[in-house]
Order: sequence, then structure tokens, then C-alpha cells
Amino acid sequence: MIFDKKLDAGRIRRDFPTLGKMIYADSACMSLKPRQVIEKMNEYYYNYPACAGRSAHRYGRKLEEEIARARKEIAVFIGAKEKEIIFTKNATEALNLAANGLRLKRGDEVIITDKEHSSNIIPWLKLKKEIGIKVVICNTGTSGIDLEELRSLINNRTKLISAVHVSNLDGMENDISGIVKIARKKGVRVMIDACQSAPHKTIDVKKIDCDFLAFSGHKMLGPTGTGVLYGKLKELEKLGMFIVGGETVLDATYEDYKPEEIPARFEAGLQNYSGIIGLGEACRYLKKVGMKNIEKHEKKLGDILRDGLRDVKGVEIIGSNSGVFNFNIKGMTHHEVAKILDSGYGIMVRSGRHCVHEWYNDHKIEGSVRASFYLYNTEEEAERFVSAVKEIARIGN
Amino acid sequence: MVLCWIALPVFALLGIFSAKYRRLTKESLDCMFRTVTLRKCRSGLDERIKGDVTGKLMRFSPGLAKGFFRYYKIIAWIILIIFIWSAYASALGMYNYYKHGNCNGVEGGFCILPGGNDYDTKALALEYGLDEKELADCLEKNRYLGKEECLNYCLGI
Ligand SMILES: Cc1ncc(COP(=O)(O)O)c(C=O)c1O
Repeated sequence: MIFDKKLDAGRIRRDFPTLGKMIYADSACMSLKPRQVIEKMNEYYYNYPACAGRSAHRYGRKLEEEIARARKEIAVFIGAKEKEIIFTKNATEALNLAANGLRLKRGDEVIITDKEHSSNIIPWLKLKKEIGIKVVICNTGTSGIDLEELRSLINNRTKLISAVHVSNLDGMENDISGIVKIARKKGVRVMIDACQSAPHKTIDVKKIDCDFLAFSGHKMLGPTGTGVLYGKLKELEKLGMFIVGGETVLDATYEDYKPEEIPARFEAGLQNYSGIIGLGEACRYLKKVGMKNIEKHEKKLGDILRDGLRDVKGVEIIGSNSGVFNFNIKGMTHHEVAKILDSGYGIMVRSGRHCVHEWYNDHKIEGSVRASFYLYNTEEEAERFVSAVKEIARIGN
Repeated sequence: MVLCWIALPVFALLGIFSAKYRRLTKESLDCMFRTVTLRKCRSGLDERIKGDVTGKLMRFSPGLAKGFFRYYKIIAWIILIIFIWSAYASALGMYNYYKHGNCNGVEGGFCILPGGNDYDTKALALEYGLDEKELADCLEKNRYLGKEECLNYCLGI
């Protein structure tokens, strides 16, 4: 660990070339990239810009080594085996791969929560439309999934529980160990959307004991266009192929084909090599800083936000956990607030429905502003955010 | 939204030079049509402009920002009316310039456009029984005398 007890955000910031006077508070959507990751990606283009897997020349071999190293790094990062790591272009593709590979049939049931990102609801709704599966919704309050309700929703047609670990809407955390425990008793598989947890806390798939877990690279200091699907080996062996073509077969005739080994059979076509190598480097970076340190640091930032804005007139808090703060200001639209924060204070936040349309529709809320802080944000930045929101609230009220 | 109506001609003009503004022109056009058909502007352009201006004012004076945010509709209407009025006045000036050689028409007066003089030579020539072209040439040549003296000289007063 670079920083043993306390995360030194000031020191970390030097690794992020874009950081300056502006406050970047949109890391739940896209994290910034440290120099180390950018350099690692460039290394591919400068030194061995070849194909992996099919070329026996020195560039090909070097790339093959780097990809294997990245896969190992990522596997270690979540406590998995290398074979259980499938590279995708983002978490959405990872979730779709699992949804389409599970070979669900008409009448099969999938349970999701009421606070899922579009990427973990639309694939299921599509299967509902196309083959007639049933999508069952389990409620979450402010403190996470209602396990009693979950238990009552499971029946013999339930094939999968697919739940978000940490919500991108408000940072709320679901008790995934509790979910898995219930699912195991009933013989149901579990898939976890770890997009908002893998970048911020220690993930150990062996401990969690889930069957599948998906996350994106770009939210955890990695390059855009990278994502991962983890699957237990025995589950991946049963999983159907989703996108097929080059690199997914060992051999083929005009009539038939023989699938590649796992995980190659799920990684069709030439891959985002520089991205994969960069993601490996991002995991290395996070590990060096220490996930516990990051978690602690974000909690402190979250406390500043919550304590500072809890009782401010006109500020309506939709939800806030860890480094995520989701709110509205009375008398203003969310887009207006976001624009004022940007042009008036140099604070970049996201406004809208954050791809959780169903939740906003259900709660009859037009949208909201979300600030999301990460390891490179400082306490001073959190305080500046608090005073900016207080000032803006005075305009609207 | 009124803001889109103001934004439309501004962006349209800037759009001649930049693709970014062509996109914004399209957005304001869409927004304008939706307003005319009594629907909500869906691009959020009005909110963005309002937020942007409020934010920029916030840096100088929160009070001013608050005033703009509260009364932006009235402010936008005033700007729109001034805008339409000045467009009308410019068009009228252009017409007069083309027709009478002066922005102000028959009465004459100050005109920012070059080439013409301050007088309606046609009307003056008719009134004093002079040749219009000769009168115009005389006025042009003798500008250095000053307005009143030049006119007296050319009209033979
Ligand atoms: C909770 C959650 N799930 C899924 C996604 C989709 O991730 P990606 O953009 O990598 O497909 C996101 C992205 O914001 C997310 O926050």
C-alpha cells in the first residue's frame, strides 16, 4: 500500500493530469485516469500494437503476455481465477452476455431490485418481450434490499436474482451476502452488478459466493470501452455463447463449429487490447492505494456532504451514501443546478435520471443532481461543494 | 421558451462559421416549434442557457444572479421585444437607404451607412427646381463647408 493509514488525496492528485482548480464530481459515471494507466495504454500503441492469440511473432507474444498479466491482476483484484474473467466492452455488455447466455425459457422468473441501472433491467425486459420470462421487482428502501420480501418472491420458477451491489442513484448498498444466502437455500443463481462497488470497496467473489458479477473499467480509473464479467467456472461452462465469430471457436466446418475454451469463447473478435492492459494497470493502482483507504476516504467526504447539507432550506436530498450525494433544489430544475455549479463554481456533476428511469417514474421525480466523489477528491473540495449548493439554494428559495 | 427564440437567430448567425452552433441552432429551432405548439422544450436548451448565465453572474454577484434567475422570463421578453424592434428598425433603414439614399427616408438625418448624404436630394431638387444629379454632386463635393453652408451654397440661397 502506498498510503497505509490515511489516503493522501493531495499526493494522489498529482497522478491525474486533468485535475486542477475545477472539481470533478462525476466519478460514478466516469472516473478520471491516472498517468500510469494512460502510459500503460500508450505502451501498447508505441511498442507492440499487434493481435493477441493469433500472431506468433514477437509483438504478438509480448501482447499475449501483457493480456495474461492484466487478466491475472483483475482476477486477483476480485478474488477470482483468471479463467473466470471475461473481457467485455462495458458492464452493459457483460450483463447482456449473461442474460442471453442463461438460456431462459418462457415462464422463467428473474428477480431484480427497484433501483437497477437500465443495464440490469432492459436486458430482462427484452427477454420478457421476446420469450416471455417474468421480471419480478423486489423493493429496496434507503438501507437496501428487503430480504424478507426477497425470500417471499422466490418460487420454483425463479432462475436468477440479479441485483445491483451499490446503487448509482444514491450509493445505497444492498446486502449481497444476505441475497446469496437466501438464493443458495432455494437453488437460485445470483448475478451482481458491481459497477459502483468494485471501484470503491474490496470485492471478493469467493466470499460473496455469487455466480456472476459485472463491472466496468472506466469507473475504476480504467480506460473507456472496458468491462468485465466474472462467472464461476461451472456456470461459465453452462453459459451459452452470445456474440460469436473470430476467436470464439477452436475449429469450424461449413456445417458446424467447436467452441473455444473458456474464457476465449466469450471474447469475440479482436479485443480492446490497450484498454485491457490499462484496466490491469488501474487495478494495480487501486490495490497500491488500498481499497480500505479509498472506502474510508469516501466515507469522510460523504459525511462532509451530508452534515453540511442535511438541514439546508430548499435542498431536497434524494439519497446519499458514501461519496454519492443525490439531491434537488426547490424552485430549480436539476439541469439548471448542474449548469450553475459548472459555470459558476467549476464543479462538474451529473443531472438527469442517471439511467434509473423506472425509479424516477415510479417516484414521480423528473430527475436530480448527483455528485459523486472518488479517491482524488479532497475534503476541501467537498466543503466547497457544500457552500456552493447552499448559495445556489438561496437563489431558488 | 423565450430564451430559445432569442438564441435562434444568434446561433443561426454563428452557425455559418461553426458546426457547434449549427447544432445549437437546430436545438433552438426544435425548442421554438415546441413552444409554438404549446409543448415543453425537450432539449433543455433553455435550462442550460438560464443555468449558464446564472452561474456566470454568481461569480460576480449572487444578488444579480438571483435577480436574473427569478425574473429571467421578463428579462427574456424584454430582450426579445428589443430584438424584434431593432430588427424592424434595421430593415426599415435598409429599405430607406435603398430607396432614398438615406437610412431615415425623406426627412434625412444621421445615417451610419456610407455613400449617401444627409439629404433627400430628389425632394430638394423638385422643390427648388434643380437637377437631382447636379445637386447630389454639389452636396458631395462641398461637404467640407459644413452642413448648413453646403446646403445653402448648392441650393443657391
Ligand atoms: C450500477 C450500474 N450498472 C451498470 C452500469 C452500466 O455500465 P457501463 O456503462 O459500463 O455499461 C452503470 C453505469 O453507470 C452503473 O452505474
